[in-house]
Amino acid sequence: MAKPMRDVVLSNDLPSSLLLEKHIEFLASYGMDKNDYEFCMTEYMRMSGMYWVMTALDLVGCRDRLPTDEVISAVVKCQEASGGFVPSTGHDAHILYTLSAVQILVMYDALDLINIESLVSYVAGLQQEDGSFIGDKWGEVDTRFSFCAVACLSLVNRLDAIDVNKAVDFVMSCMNFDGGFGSRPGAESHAGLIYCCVAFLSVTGELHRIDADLLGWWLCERQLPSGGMNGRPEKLPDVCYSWWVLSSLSILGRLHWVHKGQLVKFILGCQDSETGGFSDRPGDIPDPFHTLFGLAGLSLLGDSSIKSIDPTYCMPVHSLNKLEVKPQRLHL
Amino acid sequence: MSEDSFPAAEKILTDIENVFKRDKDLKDFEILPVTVGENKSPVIHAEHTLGLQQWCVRHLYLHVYHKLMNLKQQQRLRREDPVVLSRLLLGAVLLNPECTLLWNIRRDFVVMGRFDPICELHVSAIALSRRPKASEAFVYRRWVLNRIIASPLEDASSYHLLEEELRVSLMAADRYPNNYYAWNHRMWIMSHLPKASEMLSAEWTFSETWVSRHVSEHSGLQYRQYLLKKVLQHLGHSEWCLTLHKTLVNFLGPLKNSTFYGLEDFHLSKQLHLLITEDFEKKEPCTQCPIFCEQIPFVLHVGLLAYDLLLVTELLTLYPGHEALWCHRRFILFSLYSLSKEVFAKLSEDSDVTDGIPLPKTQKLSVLESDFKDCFLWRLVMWYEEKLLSGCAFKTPEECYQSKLAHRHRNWIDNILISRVPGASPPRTQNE
Repeated sequence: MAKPMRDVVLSNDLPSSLLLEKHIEFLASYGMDKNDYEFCMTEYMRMSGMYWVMTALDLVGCRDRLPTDEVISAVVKCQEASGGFVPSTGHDAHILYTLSAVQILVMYDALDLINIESLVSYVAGLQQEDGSFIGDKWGEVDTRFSFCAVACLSLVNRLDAIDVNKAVDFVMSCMNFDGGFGSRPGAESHAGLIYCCVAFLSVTGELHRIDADLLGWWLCERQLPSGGMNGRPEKLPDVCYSWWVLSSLSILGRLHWVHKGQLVKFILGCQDSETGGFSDRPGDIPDPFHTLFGLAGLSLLGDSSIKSIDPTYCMPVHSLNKLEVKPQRLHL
Repeated sequence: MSEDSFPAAEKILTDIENVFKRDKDLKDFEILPVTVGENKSPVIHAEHTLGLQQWCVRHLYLHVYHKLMNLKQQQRLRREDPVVLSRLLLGAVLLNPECTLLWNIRRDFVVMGRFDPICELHVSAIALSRRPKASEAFVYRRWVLNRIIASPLEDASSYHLLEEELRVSLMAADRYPNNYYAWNHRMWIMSHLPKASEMLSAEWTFSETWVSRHVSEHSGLQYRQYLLKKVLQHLGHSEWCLTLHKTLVNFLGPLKNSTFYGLEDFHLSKQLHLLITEDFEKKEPCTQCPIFCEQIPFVLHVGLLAYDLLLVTELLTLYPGHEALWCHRRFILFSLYSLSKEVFAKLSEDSDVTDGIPLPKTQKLSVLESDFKDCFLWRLVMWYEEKLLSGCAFKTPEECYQSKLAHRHRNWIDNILISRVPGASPPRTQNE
């Protein structure tokens, strides 16, 4: 194989089967010490951390390893009077953590414990004149926030609270010549942001506005000889990009365009056989974020020991069944 | 850990703050790999760099974090001694620039008028020097800058602001390859800061030098694509016309070749052809603009795209095996393809009326129905592609990767850019 490509080489001693039990232990015991340096460094995104751990445990059928009532009451306590959610007590409300909170509560079927009206008005209040969304009151715009907004509102069946047409127009203004999307108009195509925009269009039922063959082509080119996916040209493969590329292809009905076997091998190679959990690349330190996306990727690739995952919401399919949501999919 | 269990903290924070006060030209912050504390300050200041010994980092962060969180939760932030608070916040953002809350507290103090926006730019730049990917620090800068530019600025301040912002985004781009946040920030600067449009031409030149030295920079090349679109919006006669004159003579050169038969069928081709053979090649252009930018439609647009097509051809030849360069070429091809369509549509429109007499219906149809891919511009571009791709043969390992990328490029042109079979999967070339 040619030399200069940025990639990793998978050694023969990497795990090649799914270490479910280890992952369950890893997730259930992750970062509970509030005085821990890492805990304090990452507390600003605690709500998303809870969503990663909880979703991952749900996917492997072990949601009961978390104390249900404690998790629910911790999440409910994070709703501010504004309707938005803070990531952890003392931090500020943001749409990123508002979506994570809503996702957790949907999975626990506990939406009735929060103030839905104020949640809806918080999210709707973040929409700008041009249809874009700011993430919090300080005003940064990003297509991630557009996705968070419509995902949140659709989960509580209140998409009518925003100007969906304008929101779609803004997301479409972030599309590039290569079919991909960036965080703002003119910004580089990026697999994570492509997921946000494709999932946004899936929620709003506007997938026909994507050039699916063009975008699918770009997404498939993210697969490297190691089997792993990168998020942009010239970047290293990373388990989380497997998920973002795969979920986008799945929504676009083009999941069969990737080499599944080689990708499974790469994802399995990113497991830590001692501590459990997945890391970004083989040999790195595992964390709940990559563990969720590793499991979610394997689920889309058809691993029967993991529950099926919805590629639009990144939540177990069973947890969405009782809701009204019907995320759009393309079919070939 | 309780907030008092690291008694050295306040002293260390004071030392850090003093470095900021003493050195207005402070540029860098680094954690020094000293894991055992000695009986002296872990704060080092040399060559406009602030160094902090590693052994104290965890203790110091826990100290400032717990203290700030306690103040926040007891709603005592505004009542706290401003000197103490400012030290805590400085230490906190240096050690954890990704934490949104820390920047939000600073925002509140800027709004209250207690923190100076220009100092805020300095602090966030130092935080970025150690963590060039800290997106929250860039978000904070944009917020501060928006406040600064909301009131009218003197020209000197505008230029100073712009220069500093370009410096910081370049520093972050230099320190982390393909730095999404740094290049996005630079795009924001060029779109929002006063006087930025005056820098467009300088940025275009800077970008050429930079991407030529960083040929794996997909993000840097994306920035160039942003600039190109921006330059195209402001097209008009400029000093660039002279450069583009050389470019066009080179680019259009192969048209003299007999391969390009039938050019006389096309109005624009004929015009350009005449220009190359006559006016373009004159050593001393006699009119005001060497490329007649006001007379010939699209000539500036063609010239700019040709400039980058030739640039990327040269880079691909000098540095084989860089995906980012091939991606940039796709962008240029896509743009030339769209332009060819536009030129063709314009020609078809112009052909409607010749000397004020509408064409007979049959003739008009034949013009409209012929394929724009026969247009001289697209045929010339395809001639360049053939020439490049046929030269990408397999020799050294770099060239082997290069020929794989070339193969992908051809597939992309054939199956994505030019003709589509809907739903046809990409050829699986990755793992051959």
